[in-house]
Amino acid sequence: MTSYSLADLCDLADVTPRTVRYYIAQGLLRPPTGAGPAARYDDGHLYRLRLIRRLQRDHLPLGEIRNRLSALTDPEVERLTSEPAPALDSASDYIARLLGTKGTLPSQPGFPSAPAPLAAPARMPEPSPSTTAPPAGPPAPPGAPIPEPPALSVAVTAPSLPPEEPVRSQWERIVLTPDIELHVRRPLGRIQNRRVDRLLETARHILKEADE
Amino acid sequence: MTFTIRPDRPFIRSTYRSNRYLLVELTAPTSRRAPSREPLNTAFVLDRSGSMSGRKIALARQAIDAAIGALDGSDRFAVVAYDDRVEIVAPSAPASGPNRNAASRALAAIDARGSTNLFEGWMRGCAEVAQHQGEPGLARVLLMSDGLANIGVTDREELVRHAGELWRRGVATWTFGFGADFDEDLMERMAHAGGGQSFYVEHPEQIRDHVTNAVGEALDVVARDVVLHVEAPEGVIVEPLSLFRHHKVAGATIVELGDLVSDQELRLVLKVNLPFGRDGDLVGIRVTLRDRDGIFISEEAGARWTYADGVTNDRQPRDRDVDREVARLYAARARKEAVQANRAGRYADADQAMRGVARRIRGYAGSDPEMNALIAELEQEQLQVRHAMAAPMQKEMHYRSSYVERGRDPMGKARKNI
Repeated sequence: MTSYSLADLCDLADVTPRTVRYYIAQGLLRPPTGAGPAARYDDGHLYRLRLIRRLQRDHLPLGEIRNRLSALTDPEVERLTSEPAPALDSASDYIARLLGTKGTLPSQPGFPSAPAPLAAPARMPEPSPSTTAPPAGPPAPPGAPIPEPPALSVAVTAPSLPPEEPVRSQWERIVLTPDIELHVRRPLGRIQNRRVDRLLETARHILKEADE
Repeated sequence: MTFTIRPDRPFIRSTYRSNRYLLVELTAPTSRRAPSREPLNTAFVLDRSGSMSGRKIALARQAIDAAIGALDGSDRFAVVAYDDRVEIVAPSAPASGPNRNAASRALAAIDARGSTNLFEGWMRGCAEVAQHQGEPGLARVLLMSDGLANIGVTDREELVRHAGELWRRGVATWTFGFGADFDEDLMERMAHAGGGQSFYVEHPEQIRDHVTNAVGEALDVVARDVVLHVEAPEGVIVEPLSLFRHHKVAGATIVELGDLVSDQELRLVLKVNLPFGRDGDLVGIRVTLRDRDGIFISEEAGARWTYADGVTNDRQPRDRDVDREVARLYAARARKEAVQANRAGRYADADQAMRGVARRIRGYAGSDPEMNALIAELEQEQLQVRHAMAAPMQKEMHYRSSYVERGRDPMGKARKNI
């Protein structure tokens, strides 16, 4: 089996070291063998990183991804990542899916579990700069060589790194009149969404009658 | 048409990894005029929430009207208005005279009223465009808002993700934030992920200029899906310091520059992280400019560095033009971080962001007057970010920086070499 340093693993999987450490902390990846600069990763880590990325593209929250990965062996993960990614649906189909199925997502082929809810999307943290300040020292005298500008590396495309895995919900405030509101805790299932829509329609009708 | 790349310095250290910067400058060719331009398939998605009432909604309607007037029968447009409900004011139709007139009449009836279901309004606009994606042309949704999404999907990360997914499926999102209350981080990130541009419209009187300019750019595209294809040896890591999407394919780094308009000038910086090696050895990268239709034929450039000892590195000449551009980009990045921290009440972090970047630029500015002027500016701004900044000031600083990062002019428009 091939063995990789953290840098090599990140290069192959196109992720940052911070992402790898985060996934290990969250239980999506097992720890490396060894520690520090001697830490070594294997193909299992590489295939799992690729599968995580594919599942994130399909809007699965990190908790659901962890559950699915924990049920798979390394050979199974390798098989799944070697299969071509499902063809992209059209923009129209994507939008129809979003607007028509709030609260549910389709199952991922090859996995036995039920569809994952849209409730807990993976969060991307604010990108934070990692600054490497130059060593302290006297300012360069005139004519002296100019020191190298230190690296300020901030990921332009940040990976999905939720700081925690909350069960998320939010209250939606629907204003019916300046004095009357309906508050709904999202996400709701499809049937409840329809009930809320009917409730709103009826409420608006009643309130309109009251105004007339 | 021009395409050049310039490194900041020619030598790198043999004993440890080095960061070097490449300034990439290109100019798009002059377009051949209509009727050979690509048609536009667009939707104007207008926020009609209560806060848009009065002058704002009136000027926004006029702006959309004027922008539709610039289209011709080969283009398509739709108009969607949203508050807590979504209305298809004008379903997608060719921009013929009768259709434009009908849309104009329907627009005139749009007034401001409820809350802000930005997600559904935007999705409906995208749906209008997506229905006609089979036809050739640019597919762009122009999303306008003056406030925060407070109904429907409001999670920032989810909105940004959907913008990215729609862009993968060929529908771009351009965003326009009006006034002081919209979420500039959300609007910019939606446009960035969504293959578009984001604009700050500080005063209602500016709405028309921004919207008509955006449509004008769509009608003036001369090269589609332009990318820099960067090939580098193993161990060399390349990423843009400027704000462009990028990804890796088969070991090459692809930097997505988007669609370019006629005579557009673009300057961007690539950051190149190089491994250590042996004195005297060379390491190089190749950068190829490509676009969907082969407008940039055989546009290729290379850069290489020579490994050398510490003394040679310390004394090597620097390309000050490249240093200045690098300094401007790091300053822009620090300003955005400072604005974010200031908005969150983390004034010490905001102060540190500005102080830190000024110190680092001073480390290589030497006696260069431009970089020293930049440092002085940063020090002035450091005083501002230490205290709560008014929302318009936050937005102005954010977008001024963002335009620099995206190689745009101070109004966010494409720079032109005319």
